[in-house]
Amino acid sequence: MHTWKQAAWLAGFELKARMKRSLLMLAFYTIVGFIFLTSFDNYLADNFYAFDLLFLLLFIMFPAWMKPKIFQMQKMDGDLWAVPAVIMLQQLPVPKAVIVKSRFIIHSVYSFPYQLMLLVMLLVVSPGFREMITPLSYTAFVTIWLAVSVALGFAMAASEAGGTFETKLLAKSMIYLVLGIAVFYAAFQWLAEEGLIYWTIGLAQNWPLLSIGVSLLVIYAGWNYWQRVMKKDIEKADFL
Amino acid sequence: MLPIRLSKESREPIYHQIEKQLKALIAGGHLTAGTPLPSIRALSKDLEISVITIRRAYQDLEAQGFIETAHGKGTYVAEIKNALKQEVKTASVSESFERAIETARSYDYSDEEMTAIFHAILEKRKKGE
Amino acid sequence: MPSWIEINALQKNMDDFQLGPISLTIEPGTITGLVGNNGSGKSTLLKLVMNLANADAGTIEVFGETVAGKDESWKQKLAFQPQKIIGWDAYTGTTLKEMISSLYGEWDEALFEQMVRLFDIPLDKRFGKMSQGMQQKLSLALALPRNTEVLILDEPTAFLDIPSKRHFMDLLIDWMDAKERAVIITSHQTDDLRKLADYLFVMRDGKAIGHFEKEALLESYRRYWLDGVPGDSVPGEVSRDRQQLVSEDPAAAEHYFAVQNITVIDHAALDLEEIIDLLLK
Repeated sequence: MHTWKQAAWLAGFELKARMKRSLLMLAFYTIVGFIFLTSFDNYLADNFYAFDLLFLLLFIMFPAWMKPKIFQMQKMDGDLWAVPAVIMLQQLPVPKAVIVKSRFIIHSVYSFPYQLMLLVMLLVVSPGFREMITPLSYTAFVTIWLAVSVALGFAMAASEAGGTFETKLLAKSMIYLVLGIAVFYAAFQWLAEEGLIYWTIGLAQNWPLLSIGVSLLVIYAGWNYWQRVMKKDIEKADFL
Repeated sequence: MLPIRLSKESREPIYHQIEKQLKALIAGGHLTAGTPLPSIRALSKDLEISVITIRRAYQDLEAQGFIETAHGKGTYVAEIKNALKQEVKTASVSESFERAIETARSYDYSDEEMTAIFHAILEKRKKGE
Repeated sequence: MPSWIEINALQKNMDDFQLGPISLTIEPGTITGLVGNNGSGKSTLLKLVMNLANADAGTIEVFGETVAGKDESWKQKLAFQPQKIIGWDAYTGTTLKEMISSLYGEWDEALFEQMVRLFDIPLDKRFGKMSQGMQQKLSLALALPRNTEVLILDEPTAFLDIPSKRHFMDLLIDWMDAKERAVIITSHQTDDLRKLADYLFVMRDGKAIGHFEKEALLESYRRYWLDGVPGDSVPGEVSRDRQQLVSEDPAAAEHYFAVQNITVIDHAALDLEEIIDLLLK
C-alpha cells in the first residue's frame, strides 16, 4: 500500500502542474459530448457508426492524447522515445514499481472521469437509451466499457515505459494498429450485424450479472497485466 | 589561504615542498600554535593538488609533531620545541645558501670569489638600512 | 577501505558506438574526474551506473548492491545530476524542491536555502523558462543538499559564470569536508579538474585510457629544451618540435640524455590541459 501512496503523491505533482487546463478540458468535453449525444437516439434507431468510433476513441486512445504535451511521450536523443517523468523518476530514489503505479494513476485521471461522464450523460440526454435499460443493465453496461478502458486503453499507459524505436517503424506500427481496429470493427459489424455499443447494451440486458462478473475480472487482470508489462519494458529499455 | 608556492618545475616531490614550506611558516612564527589549518580538501583545491598528496604532507607533519589533528575539529598548528624550530630555520637557511652556491659553481666561481660576493651583499644591506 | 562503487569489465554496445570494457572503483573521500573527448561515453557510463540502461557485459556495484538487481535502495545513496535534465520543465523550483527533498532522508534545507540565496535563484519560475545557467544553478542547489554519500555530476559548470563557478567549488569543498563522501564529475573545464579532482579517469571513444592520480599524471610528463637534436627516438617521447621534446618517461629520458651527452637547457612540467590533450590524441 505504501507504494500506491508514494505513487499517488508523485502523480500529484504532474496533475497539479496543469490542473486548470485539465478542468477546462473536462468542461469543454462535457459540453461537446452533451451536444453530440443528443443524436444518440438516431444511433439506436439506425446504427449510426460515428458513436462506435467515439466510444472506441474515448475508451482507448483519448486518455493518452488528453495529457499535456509536456508530459507526453516524446522523442529524446537518437531513437529513444520516453515520457520525461519516467526518466526523471528513475534518476531519483523511486522504485520502478512506484513509477509504474504513478503513471497508472495519472492515466486513470485522464481516463475514468471523461469516460464516466460520457456514460452518465448518455443516460441523461438520450430518452431512447433510458427506456431500454434497467438500473442493473446500466451497471453492467458501465462495467463492460470500463473493462474495455482497462484492457485496451491501459496498453497506452503501459507504452509510456518508452524505449528505442525507429520513427519509421513506430509510424508503421501505428498504421497497422489503426488498420487492425478498422478490420476488427468491419468484421464485427459484418458478423454481429449491429454496432459495438448496441451489442454491449445487448450483453448488459441479456446477461447483466455475467457481464459484470466477467468485466470485473477483466479489469482486475488488465490492471495488473499492464503494470507488469510496463515494469518489464522499463527494465528492458535503455534511457541513454 | 596559506602563502604556499609550489614549483611544478622542480624535481622535488610536491608533498615535500608543502611540508617544507609549512614547517618554515611554523618555525618562523608566522603560524603560531593553535592556529587552525585548512582542511585537506580545501588546501587541495587552493593548491590544485590532490587530497592524496596533501594528506601525505599532513601525515608527515603530524608524525614530526608540527601539527595535530583534533578529531572532528580539524587540524591545528602544534606547540613545538625551540630546538625543533631552530633546526627548521637552520635547515631552511642552509638550503638557500646551498642553492646560491650551486648557481655560483655553475659559473665556475671559486670559494674566495663567492665569499667576496657574500660579504659585499652584507655590506650593501648594512648601508641600505 | 571498501570501495563504494565498483565497475567491473563493463560493456555496452550501441548502434554506432561501443563502450568498454571499463573497470573503475570509487573510494570514499575522493573526487574522480571523468575526462574524455566528445562522444567518449562518459555520460553513457554514468547513466549505466544509475541503471538507466542495461549493460551487455560486466557488473556495476554500488555499496555492494548490483545496480541491475531487484533491490533499488542503493539509489538513496547516490545523487545524479545529468548533463541534460529531463522532466523538470513544467515545474517551479519550489515544486522540484518539495519533490526531491522528500525523497532523501538527509536533505539539508539550510544548505538549499544558502545556495538559493548565493545563486539568486527565482524559485517560483518554471524550470523550462529559466536560462541554462540558472537551470544549472538550481539543479546544483537540488543536488548537494540531498547529502547522499556519492554525488555524480555530469558537466555541472558548463553554463556557470565565473563567480558562480567559484561558489560552486567552495560549496563542493565544504560539502566534501562535512562527511565522508565521494564525487564523480565530468567536465571539459580543466580548471574544475585541476582544483577538484584527485583522480582522473580518462576515456577515448568508449575505451578507458587510464585511471591516474592527478600528481602522478602531472609528474609523468616533462618537457625538455635541449642544446642539440637527438637523432633517434628518446625514451617516452611523445612529441618534438625542433629542440623541444616531451617525454612521458622523464627518468628514462634523462638517463638517455646523460648517456648521449645531450645538455638539457631547461625542463618544465606540462599543464594538465596539455596532458589531457596528449592522452586524447
